[in-house]
Amino acid sequence: MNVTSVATLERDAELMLRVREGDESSFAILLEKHRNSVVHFLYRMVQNRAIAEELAQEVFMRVYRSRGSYEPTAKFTTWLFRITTHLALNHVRDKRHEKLHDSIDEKVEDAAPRQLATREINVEERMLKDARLLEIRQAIEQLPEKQRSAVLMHKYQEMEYSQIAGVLECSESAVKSLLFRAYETLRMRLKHFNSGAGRDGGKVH
Amino acid sequence: MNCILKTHEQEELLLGYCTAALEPERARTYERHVQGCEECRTMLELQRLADETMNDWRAPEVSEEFDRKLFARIRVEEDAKRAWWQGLVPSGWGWKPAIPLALAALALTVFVWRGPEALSVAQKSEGLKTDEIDQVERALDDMEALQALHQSDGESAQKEAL
Ligand SMILES: [Zn+2]
Repeated sequence: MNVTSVATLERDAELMLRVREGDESSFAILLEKHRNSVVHFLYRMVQNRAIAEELAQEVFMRVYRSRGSYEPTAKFTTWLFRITTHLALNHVRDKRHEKLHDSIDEKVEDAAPRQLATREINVEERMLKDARLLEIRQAIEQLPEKQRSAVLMHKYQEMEYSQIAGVLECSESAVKSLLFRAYETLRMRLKHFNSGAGRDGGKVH
Repeated sequence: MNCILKTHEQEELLLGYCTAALEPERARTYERHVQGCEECRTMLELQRLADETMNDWRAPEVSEEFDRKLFARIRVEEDAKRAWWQGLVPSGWGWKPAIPLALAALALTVFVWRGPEALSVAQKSEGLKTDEIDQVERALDDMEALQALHQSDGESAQKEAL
């Protein structure tokens, strides 16, 4: 853990302790700081914007409700993501039977607006990129839910193995095993896109 | 396959390398290994492709009304909690009128158990406001007749016991 994250830990925990003392403005600061990462994580977990925001509302309601009993025993983000993944996993397990296929159209609508820069690349390349993106989104959606949450925390929250272990309440080696299996699946799903890429005689960096 | 690394080691080096989490010396060793190992080279190419594709997956902006909605929910929940507490006391009945009543009940109990000398103790009580003492006295006045009856009954009972 570097100096910045130690400072972050102390600041967030300090804010949460102030919320415990009844200071609502500290709660607003915590919300401002972590809202996007929670909503975005949930969005990638459930791949539906409205559901992600609804679940995120519940996450922050639970944070607020448990202010009275809050103790800074873990890093604040570990505690926050423990609540977040708990709700996400419950939702995914409940909705498992309703799955995938009917949500593809909505996903396109949900997607963030395309960056202007992508206009500059040619149509063929863009179509290839879109196809790859769709492939990886489907692959992530089909991952077992614990692998999915581990890979999303690792990739987008940039959490270390130890912190993911803290969130999922399992060992670091269990986290590694979840991640290795998840990334292996994702790599295999992109294998047929790799025909033209990376043929540089093993040059790295 | 012909890679000399164990699967676990291979994966750990790959992810460590792609997230720049490896020590410089270990990263260099891995680079040298990849130069000569086709299996690890393919894994690295695919991992980079996966990383790049995942980077392209941008989450939508959070709705503008997210915070407002959340604070409204908190407000509703807090109000409901408060209403539940207030529900324990009938509406329009604050705590203030209850205090002299409680005092009256207490004084009466002491009076019944210990006789009229308890009243002087109640009057000496510094914490009581004059109007509250008045109310206690008024309550006691109302009960005087009953009390007198009680007392005479008590005295005769004591005489009988002696
Ligand atoms: Zn190898």
